[in-house]
Amino acid sequence: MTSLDEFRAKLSGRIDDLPLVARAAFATRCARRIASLTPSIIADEPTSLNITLSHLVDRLEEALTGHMSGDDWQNKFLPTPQVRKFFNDIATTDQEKFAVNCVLHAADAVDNIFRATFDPTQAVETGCAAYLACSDSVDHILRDLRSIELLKDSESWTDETTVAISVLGPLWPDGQPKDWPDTSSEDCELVFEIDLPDGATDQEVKRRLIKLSGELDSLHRSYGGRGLRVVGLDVPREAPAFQGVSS
Amino acid sequence: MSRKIRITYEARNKRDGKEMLRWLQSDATRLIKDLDAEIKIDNREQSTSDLRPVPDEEFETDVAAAANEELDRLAELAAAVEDRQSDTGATESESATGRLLLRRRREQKEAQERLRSGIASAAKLGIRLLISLTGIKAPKD
Repeated sequence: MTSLDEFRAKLSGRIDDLPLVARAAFATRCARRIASLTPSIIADEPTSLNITLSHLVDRLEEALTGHMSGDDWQNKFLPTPQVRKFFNDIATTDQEKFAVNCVLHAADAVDNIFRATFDPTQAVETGCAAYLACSDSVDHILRDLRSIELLKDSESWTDETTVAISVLGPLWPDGQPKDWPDTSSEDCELVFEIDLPDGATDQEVKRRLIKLSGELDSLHRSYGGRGLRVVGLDVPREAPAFQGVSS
Repeated sequence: MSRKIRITYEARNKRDGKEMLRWLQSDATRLIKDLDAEIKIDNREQSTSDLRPVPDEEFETDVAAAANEELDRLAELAAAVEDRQSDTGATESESATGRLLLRRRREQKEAQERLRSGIASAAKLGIRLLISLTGIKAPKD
């Protein structure tokens, strides 16, 4: 088994060769993987701050896409000392502490984008925290790094190239490891509410919805999924109260 | 007054991670946002003739069934392609994994472009997907 020092050495040289946003993408992917494995008391339950580790990772992923301004990151999304303290305080087991470290290091790696700081340390330390949180994830982490290197070369990524984390495909393409928390899509549904013009005919609506379904299905498959199914179609009688995205 | 329809999807195979549904939501939301200005302009150009009542239950069932027929057809096509690829003896070597990654990346770009065109084309008819009410329901437990 690879020791932590060997693992850190493996990461260091390779991350140093990655562009700025790609480094943060690697860190964010590690954070997502580990946040998904953290016991639910931290990862999934709303806290008094109304934020979870998974929510933090949602923000990091959004920041990578270039659709977040520096001001928004600094003022709304960069974890504050209060948030960091909260997560550090609530983590009790070693695994939870390493998971919190992993996500907070990833936040620092993303912060480097907005500060234009070319320091690979935060991304390396994110990988190491992921190793410590779950050594079984090492092969997956190295595969993610290899994928990022391949995409960097094939698409000529630069420091300015933004990254949609979905380019890396499913977290667990061969099925998630046994005994780890369930990250399957059981009980998750994707809901679209569609506003139709008064003049739309039934035939036109039907044709459009079939087309939309096919387009979403193709995109799901391109991510490595096995397609979608419609489980409901109805006319909302009143505004539905959707919850936020759950990771 | 415009009509609203809510359509709900789930992963055909529940073993697919929920992250993929989140990515779909994120992609669709971004595409809709990018097209928002265009959609608003097109909405103003819509005729309000041929008013119809909101769709009835039979219509809802019919459209859901038709959409699922199309999704079943796509699933059969995908399964056939997968069979052909496994017949070629593809292995899980690093090079095979790399090829798969790059092929999926190409497919993602194509699929995103098709979805973008579909949303833009629907917008031209005044059909609008609402961003704020798009989401993944939290696990029921």
